[in-house]
Amino acid sequence: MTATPYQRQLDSISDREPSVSYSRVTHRSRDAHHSRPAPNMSVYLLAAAFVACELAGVAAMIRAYQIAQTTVSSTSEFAWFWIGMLLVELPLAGLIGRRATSRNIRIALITFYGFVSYLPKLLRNPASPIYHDEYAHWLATDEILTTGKLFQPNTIIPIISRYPGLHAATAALVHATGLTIWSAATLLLILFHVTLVLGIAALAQALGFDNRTASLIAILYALNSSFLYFDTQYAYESMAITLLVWTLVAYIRAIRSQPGEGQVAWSVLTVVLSAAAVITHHLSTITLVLIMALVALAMSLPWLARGEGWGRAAGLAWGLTLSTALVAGAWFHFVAPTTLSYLSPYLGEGLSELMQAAEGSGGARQLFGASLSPWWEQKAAYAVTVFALFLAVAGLLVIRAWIRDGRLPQGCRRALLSAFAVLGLLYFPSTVFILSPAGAEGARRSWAFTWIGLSMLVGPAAVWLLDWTRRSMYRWRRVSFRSGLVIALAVALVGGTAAGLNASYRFPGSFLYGSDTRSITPELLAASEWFSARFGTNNNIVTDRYTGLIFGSFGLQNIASPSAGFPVYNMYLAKPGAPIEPAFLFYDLSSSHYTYLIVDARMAYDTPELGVYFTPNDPTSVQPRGTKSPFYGRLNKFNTVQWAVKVFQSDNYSIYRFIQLTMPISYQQQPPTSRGKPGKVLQGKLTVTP
Amino acid sequence: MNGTRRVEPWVKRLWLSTWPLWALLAFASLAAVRLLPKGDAAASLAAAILLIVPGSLTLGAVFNPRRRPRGLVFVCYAALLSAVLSAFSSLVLYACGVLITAESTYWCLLALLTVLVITAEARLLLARPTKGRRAAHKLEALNSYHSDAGTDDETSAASRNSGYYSIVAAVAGVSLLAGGLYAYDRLPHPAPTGYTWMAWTGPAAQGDIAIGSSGTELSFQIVHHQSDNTTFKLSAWWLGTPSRSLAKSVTLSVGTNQTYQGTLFVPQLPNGCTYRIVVSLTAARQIDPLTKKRQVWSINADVHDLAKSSRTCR
Repeated sequence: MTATPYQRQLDSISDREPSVSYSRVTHRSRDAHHSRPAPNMSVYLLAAAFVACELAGVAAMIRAYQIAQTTVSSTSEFAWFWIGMLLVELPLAGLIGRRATSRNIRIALITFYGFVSYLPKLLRNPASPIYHDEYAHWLATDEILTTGKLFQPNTIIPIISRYPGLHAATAALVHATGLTIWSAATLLLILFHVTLVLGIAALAQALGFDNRTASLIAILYALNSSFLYFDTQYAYESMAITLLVWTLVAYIRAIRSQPGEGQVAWSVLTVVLSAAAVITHHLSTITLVLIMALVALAMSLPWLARGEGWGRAAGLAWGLTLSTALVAGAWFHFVAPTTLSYLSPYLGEGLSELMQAAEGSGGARQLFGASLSPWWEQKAAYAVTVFALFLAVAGLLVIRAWIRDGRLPQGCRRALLSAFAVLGLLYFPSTVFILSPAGAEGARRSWAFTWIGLSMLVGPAAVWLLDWTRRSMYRWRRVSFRSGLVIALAVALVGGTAAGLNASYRFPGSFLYGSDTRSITPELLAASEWFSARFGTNNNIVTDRYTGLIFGSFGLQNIASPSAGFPVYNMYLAKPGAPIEPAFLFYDLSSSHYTYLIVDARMAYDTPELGVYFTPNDPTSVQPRGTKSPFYGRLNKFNTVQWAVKVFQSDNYSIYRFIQLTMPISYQQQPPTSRGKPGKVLQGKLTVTP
Repeated sequence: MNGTRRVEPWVKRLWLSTWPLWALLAFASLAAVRLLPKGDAAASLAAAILLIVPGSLTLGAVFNPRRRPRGLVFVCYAALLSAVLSAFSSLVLYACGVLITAESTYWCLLALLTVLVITAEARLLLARPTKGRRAAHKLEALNSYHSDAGTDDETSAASRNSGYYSIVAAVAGVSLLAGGLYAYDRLPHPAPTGYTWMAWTGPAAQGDIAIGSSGTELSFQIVHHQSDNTTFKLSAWWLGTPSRSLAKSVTLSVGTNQTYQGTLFVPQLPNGCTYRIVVSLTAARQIDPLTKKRQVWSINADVHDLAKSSRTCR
């Protein structure tokens, strides 16, 4: 099978659609090439309207961010933002779904969408990291640039030091261009984001969908909760998700190619890209292996895949899966042995919490409990699952119809499509985990992967609905149905994003205690700068999560990781005058050379927006009790304890230096008196000059 | 026009048969780009070379010219593979015990790309069954992303158009990002919140501060990053029960973004005891939003006389 009939076969899968068949496109392009007929006035009007919508959309998004920055409490930023996003996305989706749009224009529109959908994140933090994980990855890159070595310890997220793919790529770009870390990171992130959108379309084409369906699938994938903000942050998953998608493209191409017709090359590409995913991100690697195994399994089922050369294709699929699994296994074993212990609690605890909730012995997580999102965003988030379920069922029916009428005969394509359909259907059981405190994060992160399959399932259904309304309706009904589809798309876009990161991650705003993104103030940055200038870098420090982000990243200090075995939060929690428990804590701090304690006074008065003061695994005693902080009235003790002196204080931050933790020398409670003058306190002198 | 027609096939043939060499040359020129004055243009050029050339050469080495992905798929794979090769080169350097620097990364990639160029050129030589314009044209036209109609002129035109449209889309996308960012940056933003801090300066003490026989001066700093003038009372204390004044208070009015240097003279201590001293700064009017009391900043230190035995402390 040569590339030509192969592609024709792919194109035939979804349609009897006359307008975008390849022959007509090439005919048009030939016409365009030779005679260049003057475009219709309506084309110009359409183009002008499209450009106007995009510009207005961008303007509305900018307005949303400006409102969020300058208004203390308002939900109008949400309205402006979604007006902007809908102005950007809906006309684009409409043009892509339009049958008369040429494939070249569709590809251009998808490319354009890749760029413009990066704007929300670009506006959020154009100049420096602000998301929690971004600080850790920024630090990892900085370590490569300053030490010239990989695998340097990372105190903010220790596991990322074992996955240097993104950091090494950024460091190389910094070396070559002289850009700052953040500028190079932004450049790479835009590249990964745009290629992710194009990769989904390429994957859909590799699976046999025509250009129109593939482009719509890319737009539908962009509705997942990670797309706009999470997978655009400077973190290893942003690079890995793109690598995963393009590895799958190469993998599918390898399976579908004949020997001697690029099969070896596509296989080599699969191995190289999967190895890159392995050194970049653990979860993406595991998911990649699982998806490849799912595809290989589908290729091994005779009732799905039997056809010419299917045994060889299945063998190749298993071979590539095995090679990826081996590379991943070797990396986990030799380079990143802590990976499984890092990941397993999320699934294990998530499952056990769900079981407890089902048995009534534990409480389920309250959805949108502390969310700043308006009610309509929250409702839309629920609606996404319903719409997705409806369209997934429709997608399954479309596939069934193709099988029945012979358009999807037994063979490679049927097997591949079935595998991706199964992947997509996994989204629905994963939504249950959102009710578990430990499993919610894992569930959300899995959606970026399951939506690859889901969009492959939902895309054909969406195209079928569009064509069905066109074929079988009166004009007014057609308009109503299509309006309904547009509204559904709008709701899914709003809800999909709302189901992801919290509003404090998405919008700028005034200071918000305990929010990662809005806890960073000029005061904190100044304190960190002063500390590094005075005491140098690499000091071991005890502090809370939000202060530690800045001191640990820009300040290049080592922040303690609190845990049950190293409960440094007990220092904050102890009542004034009471001993710090457990007794071994001071010994541990002293033997590990912890020398500074940093206290944010707001810990005693405010409850953090994210619900944690130190880590998500904080014991109950360290968690906020309603609106009351467990540290209320407990922090002033540091001014008088024997084992620490205060070397710095700003409006909110106090920095203490530990002195003789294990054998503190008591200072006198009575002031010194002048010799020969009992009762007269020794006097010094204060002078101050500007 | 005739001249152009005569030159075009020749240039095209030369390009198609030697593009890996030109790409390698472009990568090698990164060394020269680094010598250019630092700026956006030099950075853009270097970024374009680093993010396209290594991946393109990888595709050239891995794929038979007839089967190589074209158009956007080629660009996407080239960009991703370039990023990936940069990461792999760092791994190689680390494994070899070489420090990862701009120079070592450059030479490592250059060595790797040379191998890829040799492979790609070998593939180009082996994949030349026919000569002349038609053969060159076949190489151009085969495109897995746009290959539906085979290798004819129409496909080539469609592929070219797709490339042009995508370039226009990319330029529009980048312009929109840059324009959006520029507009957002030019809008009025809330002024950053101000702050005041005080801290010890001078040599950092590891533990207690030693007071000499003639007393010792301890220096500290007050930094006021606020938009208004504020009056403070600066005082010093012996911490204890009760705390007693160590020095006469000083009132100071601090202006916007002003820094004050302060010193506290601690006199000779009467015995070998350790005492804690406190320097505090109290705002005359500023209320602490947390405690609802007057805002106070303080620093403290433990002092003792090294010359006197702790046995003299009773």
